[in-house]
Amino acid sequence: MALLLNAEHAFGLEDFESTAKIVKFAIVPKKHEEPDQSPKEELMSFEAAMLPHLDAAHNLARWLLRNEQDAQDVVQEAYLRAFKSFGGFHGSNGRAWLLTIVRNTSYTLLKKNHAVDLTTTFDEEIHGSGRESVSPATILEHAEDAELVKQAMDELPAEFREILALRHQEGLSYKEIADIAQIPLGTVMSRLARARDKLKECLAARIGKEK
Amino acid sequence: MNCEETTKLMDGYLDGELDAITNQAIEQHLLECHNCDQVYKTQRSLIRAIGSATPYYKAPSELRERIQSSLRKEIAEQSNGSGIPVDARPLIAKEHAESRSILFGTSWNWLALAAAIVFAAVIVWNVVPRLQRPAADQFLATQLIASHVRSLMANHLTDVASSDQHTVKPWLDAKLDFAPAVVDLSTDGFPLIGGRLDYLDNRPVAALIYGRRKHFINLFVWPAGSNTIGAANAMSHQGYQLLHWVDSDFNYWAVSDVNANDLQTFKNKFEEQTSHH
Repeated sequence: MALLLNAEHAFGLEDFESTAKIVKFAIVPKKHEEPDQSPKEELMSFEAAMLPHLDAAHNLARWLLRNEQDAQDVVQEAYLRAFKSFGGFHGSNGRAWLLTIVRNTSYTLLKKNHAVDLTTTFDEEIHGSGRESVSPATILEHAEDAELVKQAMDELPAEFREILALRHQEGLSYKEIADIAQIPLGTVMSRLARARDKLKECLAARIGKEK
Repeated sequence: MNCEETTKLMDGYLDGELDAITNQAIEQHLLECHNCDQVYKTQRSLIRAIGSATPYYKAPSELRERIQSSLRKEIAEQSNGSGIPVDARPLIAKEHAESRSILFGTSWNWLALAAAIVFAAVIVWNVVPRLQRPAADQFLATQLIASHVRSLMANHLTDVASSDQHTVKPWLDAKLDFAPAVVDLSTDGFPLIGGRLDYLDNRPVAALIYGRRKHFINLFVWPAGSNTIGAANAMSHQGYQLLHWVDSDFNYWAVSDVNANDLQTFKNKFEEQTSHH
């Protein structure tokens, strides 16, 4: 190795006493290791508790972000966050706890991307049209059409997509939904009702267009 | 209960989230009011349709793997971060920069500077490699332990499961650009369980798996480079025992949760057997 006598070397290590201090510093760190549960044990109990909810986590993120790549990134990030705060989790409902983190991580990304549809104020004129011309019976006929329902649901604002996925796909109770979406229990029912109404409207609009 | 109230509570009723008394009141109203009953039936069908028609996005299997490896990386970084004075170095250098002006600010001359440079050169030459060595060693140790833990955790202990050294060795030889010695040590209490490919120290390596009572020993083998550390070297890290040695051809790292003596015995037996081959 050719030794470069540059300034950094010169004053980085010029007096022997300080160099000795570095050596001391390098030897000490064993003390800093966590004495309680080993990281391996913690990881194992974390994975046993949380990996079973991976599908639920992915499904929620996918509905919120409407994009597979973003959903995967968010879920990975959420698991990492969950692992870091796993020590503070003492509840029994691991799924709701994890989904809360997935939801928050998803919203962080949505906000960062300046998503315009975070809340429920969106254009009534476009989405409200066609309601009168399409009967509930016609809507029901089309409600089995998975692709149509998916498209209609993707049109909804995030908080509606979220509550529909949590209720209809995860089958969560109002209480669990209130915890995850961080809204009062009383709001869950009204928001769910509005989400279903909006979904009907979007379906009606699509059916109306197809005609 | 009237129509307005019923409409307002309809979703809660359909979701089974109302209390028993309200439930009963709505049921009663639906029996009496044809309009509300129609609304109820339509809404019920719609809710069922949403439930069955909306796609459920199951997680792809790669995502699981991605998460598991990112968690292991996180652990490795955590344990690594506490041990290595990587961040401390610039800090120390900065302190020196400040003290330098006090030391040399008043009466420094070229001779003193030259002497200081020579002295610094000697220190850099001698001390720095010694400082860096434990850091590199610790990093590798963390990698080795992560690899050992992963092999036990992810149901991927072996790529080739066999207690027959004549099955394991050709399998590994075919996959790697070197041919590690494989011996069965079951008569010594370390039965060969199988072999695996792994990736460590920026290269593919062979992992031989031996049993010791209910425990496993991962023996990682790769060709010895010119920059390897010579002497046998035992260390304990995160509750695991690591034993490192080098022979004329290979670098060996044994990792396990067995006690240090067992690992030492394992090494001796392994060396005995390989020298016979």
